[in-house]
Amino acid sequence: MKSSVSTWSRWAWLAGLLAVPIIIVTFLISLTNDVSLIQRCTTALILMVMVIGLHVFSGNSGVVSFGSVAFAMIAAFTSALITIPADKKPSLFPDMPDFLNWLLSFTVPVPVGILISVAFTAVIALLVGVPLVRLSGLAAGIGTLAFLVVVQVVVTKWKAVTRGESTMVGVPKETTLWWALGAVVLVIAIAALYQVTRRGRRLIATREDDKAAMSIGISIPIERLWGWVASCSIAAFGGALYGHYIATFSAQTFSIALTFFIIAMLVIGGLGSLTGAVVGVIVVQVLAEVLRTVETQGIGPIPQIDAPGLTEMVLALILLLVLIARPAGITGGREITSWVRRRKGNAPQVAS
Amino acid sequence: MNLQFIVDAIGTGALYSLMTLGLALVFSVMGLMNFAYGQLVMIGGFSIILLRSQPWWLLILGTILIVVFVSLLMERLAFRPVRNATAMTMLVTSFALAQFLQQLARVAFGANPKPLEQFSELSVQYEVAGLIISRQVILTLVTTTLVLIGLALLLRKTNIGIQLRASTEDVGMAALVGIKSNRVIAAAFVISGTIAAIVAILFFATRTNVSWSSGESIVLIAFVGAVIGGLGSMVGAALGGFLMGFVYTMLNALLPMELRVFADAFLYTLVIVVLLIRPGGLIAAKGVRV
Repeated sequence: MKSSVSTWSRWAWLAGLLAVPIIIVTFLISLTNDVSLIQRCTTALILMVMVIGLHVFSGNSGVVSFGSVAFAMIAAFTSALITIPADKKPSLFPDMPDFLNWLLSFTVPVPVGILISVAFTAVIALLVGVPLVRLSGLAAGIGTLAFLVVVQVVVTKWKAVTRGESTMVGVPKETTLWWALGAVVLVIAIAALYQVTRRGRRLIATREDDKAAMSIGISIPIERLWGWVASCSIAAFGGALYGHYIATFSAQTFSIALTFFIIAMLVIGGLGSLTGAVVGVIVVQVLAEVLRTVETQGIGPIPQIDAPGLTEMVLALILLLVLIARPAGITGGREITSWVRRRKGNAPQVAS
Repeated sequence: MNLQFIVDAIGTGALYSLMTLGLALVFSVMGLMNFAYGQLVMIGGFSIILLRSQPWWLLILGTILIVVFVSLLMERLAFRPVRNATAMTMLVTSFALAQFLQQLARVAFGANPKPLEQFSELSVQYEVAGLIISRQVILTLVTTTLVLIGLALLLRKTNIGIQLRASTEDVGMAALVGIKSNRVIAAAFVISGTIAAIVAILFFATRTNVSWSSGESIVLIAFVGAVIGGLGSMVGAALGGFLMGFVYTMLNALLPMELRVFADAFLYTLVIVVLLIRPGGLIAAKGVRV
């Protein structure tokens, strides 16, 4: 009984300490009425959903995955296919194969589309996950990377369904700042719940010591599969939201570069903690925003510098320096609750 | 039956196996999958443009020197500080480095691909028993064979080579018996850089331009080839890279027209299948954790 109370309080503290500052900052940003700032904030929040998704699997299991963007892509395209107004569909997809023709006849509201696409992606994640979770280390990395390439090639070349290089257009643009904020809060709550309860603790145990975990009866493939499906579903949620935010996208939107960007944010924040996932996104996004401002208008004494690629170059350089200075990431893989508790003096054994 | 595509497949396979070797060598010594390796090939490409008007020996020597210099710089400035971090941190470091070099090239040489004057002497073709073989394919095959023999001799007969192999087996143990890790790792980066420069010369010999994004696809192939071949095993890496090139060319030649655009999807599905059957790669080195 006592332990279950502390589980809930740990969940509330972790989720609350992460979500409340984000809610406050987002609210403040919305008050500025600065359209471009609000856009950047929305994008950052959607990216945060994807990074938290990756954390749920990679952070808790310690197994690298390059596949999360593939699931974001599948969900974005699925949701687009079922939410584009039915009267527009025949002209957008004139060559739709017969077995998918039923897709052209109906339209669902965007929230329903997102739900259906997340559920559909979860099923694919389950099917792909059953064989893939048996791999660890770099083999897992390459396995998931190979899956990403396969999905990318199929989405790029299956023009009749995905419109290939001519990009998906006419997708309802409904994701707003508040949708993105709601999604982040929801996903933080889910991810925090997962890692303070039994299911997630078991997966973390396999990360810390696989043999010890097995010796107390934890099945590594089963725990990884749970984490994998949860992770891919969250990534899918982010992908579907992103699709309804940018409204025009192709397979190139969900590139290997985006994959690494997401992994980089997670590692820079600190792999292994939810706090790391959140902090990584905030730090990288704020940096990118500052650099972009320098490139377009200059800040204070720094004049405007006009050179395409400069922003990305400096960003990569800063990321590199952060990694060299703190190889374990900004948070070192610890949760925000461990600092708060230490400051309150509740855990003297940690402080000593 | 037209066997032309087999010649092409062998040519591509040989080039890919070289690419893979350069990446796998560094991995086997320090457990780093160097994503910036592809950017070394890209830098090699720009060196070729820079040295295009020089005599051929100076072009080759200059390209190798430039690429090896960058390779050593990478090791010293970026990878040495994270050497003891997790594999994931090292991987992301190399990715950040790759991004940096790529964007640096974009700022320095512009967003548009730089034209490269073709090496007309390499496109001369010979006909042997009905098959057309270009000088470039012959050059690739000969160079790959020479590099493989050279690497085998280096690893087996020289002092630094034996130290390298010892570090591949067990870095900690090698350090205990007095092998200087810094020297061995630097040596691995020199060899890796040399191979990247050779790959650049062979790769760009048939291209008409060099772009800041040229390195991306190369490292992907090498990365995948090294893992399916067998991490930590040089023979495995060469084999894995060769198979990537060979199978890809064969798929492009043999698949029915309407499926040909999906050649990459078939190739990478095969990669997943190979990994599931042999997670340690085709030739798994003993003691390598995967």
